[in-house]
Amino acid sequence: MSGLINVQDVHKTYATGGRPFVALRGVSLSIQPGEFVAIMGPSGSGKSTLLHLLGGLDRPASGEVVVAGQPLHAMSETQLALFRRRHVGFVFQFFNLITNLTVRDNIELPALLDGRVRGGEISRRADVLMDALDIATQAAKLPAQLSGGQRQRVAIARALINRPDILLADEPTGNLDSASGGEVLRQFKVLNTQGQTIVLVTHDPAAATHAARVVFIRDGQITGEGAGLDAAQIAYRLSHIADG
Amino acid sequence: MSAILRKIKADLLNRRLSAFLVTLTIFASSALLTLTATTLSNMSGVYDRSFAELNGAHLWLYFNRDQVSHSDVARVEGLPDVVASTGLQVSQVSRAELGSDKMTISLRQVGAQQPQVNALRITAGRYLSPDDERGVLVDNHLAGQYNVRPGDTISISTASGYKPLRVVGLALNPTWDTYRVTQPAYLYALDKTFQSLFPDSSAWDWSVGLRLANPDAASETLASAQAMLRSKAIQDHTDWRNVRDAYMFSAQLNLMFLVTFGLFALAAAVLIMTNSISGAVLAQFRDIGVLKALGFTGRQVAAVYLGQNLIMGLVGSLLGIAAGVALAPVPLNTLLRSLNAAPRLVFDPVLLGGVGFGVLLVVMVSTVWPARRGARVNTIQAITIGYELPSAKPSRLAALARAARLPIPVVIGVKDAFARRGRAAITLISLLVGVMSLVFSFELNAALDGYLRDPSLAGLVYDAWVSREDMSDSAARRILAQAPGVKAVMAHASAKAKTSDGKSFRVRAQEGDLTQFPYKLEAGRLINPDAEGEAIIGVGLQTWLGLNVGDTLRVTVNDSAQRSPVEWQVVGVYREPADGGQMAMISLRTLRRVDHTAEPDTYLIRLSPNADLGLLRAYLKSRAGESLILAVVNTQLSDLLQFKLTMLTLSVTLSAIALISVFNSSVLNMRERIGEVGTFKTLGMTPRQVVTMVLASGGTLGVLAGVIGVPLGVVVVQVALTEMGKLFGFGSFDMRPDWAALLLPALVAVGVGVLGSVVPGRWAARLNVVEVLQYE
Repeated sequence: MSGLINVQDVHKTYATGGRPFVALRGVSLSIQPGEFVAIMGPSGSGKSTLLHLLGGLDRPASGEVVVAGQPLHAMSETQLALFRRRHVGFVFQFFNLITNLTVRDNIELPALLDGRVRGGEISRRADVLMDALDIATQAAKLPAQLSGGQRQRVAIARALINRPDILLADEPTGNLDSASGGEVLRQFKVLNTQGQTIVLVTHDPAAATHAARVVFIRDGQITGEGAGLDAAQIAYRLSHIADG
Repeated sequence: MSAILRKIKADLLNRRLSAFLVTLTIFASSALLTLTATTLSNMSGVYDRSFAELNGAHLWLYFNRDQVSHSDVARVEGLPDVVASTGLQVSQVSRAELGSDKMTISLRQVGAQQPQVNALRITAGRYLSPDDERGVLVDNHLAGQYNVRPGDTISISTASGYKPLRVVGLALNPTWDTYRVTQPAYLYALDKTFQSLFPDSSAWDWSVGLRLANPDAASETLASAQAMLRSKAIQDHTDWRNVRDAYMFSAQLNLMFLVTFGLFALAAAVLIMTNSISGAVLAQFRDIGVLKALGFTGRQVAAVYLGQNLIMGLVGSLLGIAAGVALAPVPLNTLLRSLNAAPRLVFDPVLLGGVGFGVLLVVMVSTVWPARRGARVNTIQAITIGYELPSAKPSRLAALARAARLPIPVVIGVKDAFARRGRAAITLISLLVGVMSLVFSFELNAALDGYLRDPSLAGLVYDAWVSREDMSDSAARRILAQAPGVKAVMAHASAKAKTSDGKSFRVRAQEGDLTQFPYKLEAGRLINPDAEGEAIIGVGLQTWLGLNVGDTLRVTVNDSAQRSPVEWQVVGVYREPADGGQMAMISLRTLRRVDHTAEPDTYLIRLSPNADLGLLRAYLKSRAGESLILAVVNTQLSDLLQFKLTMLTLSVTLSAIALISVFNSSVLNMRERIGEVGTFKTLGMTPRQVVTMVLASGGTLGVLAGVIGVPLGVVVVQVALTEMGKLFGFGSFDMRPDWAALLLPALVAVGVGVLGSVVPGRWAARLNVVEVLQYE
């Protein structure tokens, strides 16, 4: 397999309440640079777990995860942190902004942490991102002072400040109204046309239509894929998966 | 009610760490409060308890042997207010020899059993047994002055020369008066020993000790006795209240420091407890919001937190009081022993109950206020924001840290230290209390050490004194003027003065170069020895009589010598170590204006730095025989080690409580920020950087606590000691803070701030990001 992201026969098990829960069973996946892939499945199917492994937030119990040529499965905690800093941007359902940092500070934080880019360049990048995401006027505000849609756009800007190889989004519209959610997905589309590799986890067929490829997952296994599907087709295949 | 109880149980069981830390804080605070309260209550009544245990005599009468008979003594014992008597006591004043030291003593005859009235406290060795034909008990004060121990030999001067006796024990007499009535030190021997040394009963001195129904009626009983007997039958007397005042002086300075620190420790422990409990409740604002969303009323919300905190308070206070009771004897028994009191602490159940009640009251107040505040906050705001919105103001400290190019995790940590002002204040207060307690302890110890090194700070301005017997004043002065190693001599006579409203006090009448004796002036100037009618007054006298420099002091002096009052102008206020500072000083010339017979009986000596005491003694013996007796001043400040130990114990306990509180605050802070920590890790913060961030946050507060707490502590201790000094008649305190040494408390503050964050920091670093994000 060759690609920006290569997952080979990955297994992942969690212990919940003392009993093991198999989240992923022998998952294999390859994503090319510049792809926009959506991962869909019912609750508990393992889609978020797969996303976490792709982002180096967790390690597989077995199998290989290679992203941008780096074997995440073999990395230490510190190496994973450095990897995330430089190669991955995350966007979460609940935004996960730092509550006592302003919008600008939140956006610049990953770059400051990385330290490879000078302060002036960091500010310039932040300005560009804020303009692109239409949040420039909110730069001095705290997250609590923003709407849901604005917060998510801040989160997107933060995820992009270090120009990551991949952008991972876990239900990014789950906490937004349809208008805001639609705006976020349009932004993703724009980014993708600019060459950004995006992996989107969602349960919303409408959101998945923005992706070029949809991967379906159930009970920890990939059950199928589709390219260029519309919402109805996605919904059908999703319900087919849910019904087993 | 079941809903409330269920929530209480769930909180206690599921927030074990937080519950444990709050309970630990209450436990430690209760132990400290118990220790402090027990210390203060035991120290304040030391003499009274000792006096009661020994069945002390409230009034001692010393008779003029030629003017009194056995029946006279019996009539005195039969006075209406007298409930018990020592019976007629016989004694003989003589000289004693201990190595090369000689001193005047009074050998007193005692029985083979301890007396019923005015028993002796044996502080070392044992009481005399019937076999001790050559045994003697030595008074505790004398033993301390000359380092006498059981087994030593002391020789008593008799008509046929010095007779050696073996010291079998050291004894404390509860009514041996050192100040108001000048008495020689007491030694005690069995009747057969006494009579073998002094067979002539006509030369014996007579005295009797009386226990009174009303202890405060000593003056009235004395007057009745005087009225009943011949005019000069009673040569002198000792009032137990004067002895108590004199007794307490030696511990006064230390007691004052202990009281000062004790009060501070009490206030600090309460503050830390309040802080911890309030902080813990405030950390549960989200929970409060959820409870309200579910339908809990404000009162029910308060009941939930009151319930769980009272349970912790009850457990913590009971265990803490028990620990305080168990630990108190460790420093305090030796302290009591050093005060010549029975090494047996008294625990007052009412006091202990008061501590328990007080702790629970603090718990209640600390809980109800934040709980009710939470109940009033908008429900959605409480759920989404918690206790407080992070501050929107830019952090100057963080900007400074960034300008200094400190690593980003440090900058974030510094900024985060004050992101939530309420939480920061809670942590800072705990740290400040810990720092200030250390500063307090440091400064008090330094002050105590200062007084030890330079007793003149406490008013002890001479190195030795010489008492004169069987020699004229002029002859004594001639001899002393040429004595080797003597830098200055001041002739000293004692007098008694009484104001028109009956307040009596002692007066020093001195002649010599006062400038050679470093009296510490609080105001005004020293008396001019050549001028008449000038007086300086001790700080205690100033407070007692309400006098100031420039006022006139109108008194009668030495009742029998002068009927009309005299007036002295107060020209200064000075530190007087005796009688709680309730003394005055005039020139001998001034005294002779009212008492022509006044003559010095003592000569205060200042020695040269390398004076040879052996040479001086030999000189005096060769020139004056036994007419001039030299005594070197042993610092009248009692052994400070035990007090230091007690203060150190309280101080360290307080700092430990502060550390627990900081740790608790840090854990709560971490809990509140668990999502953010997950986000930081997601963004690429390494575990080490997470720890650095958390430590930087704690360390920032520690630095601030050090910078504020050290000077604040110095100010507080100075103010506290000044007020205590006024209360105890001590005057102002010479305190020069050793800022270099005070760096240590500042460093401790930083250390505590960092240490209190280590565990939460490491915990945060080890957090599984996925679990954290899912938890959020």
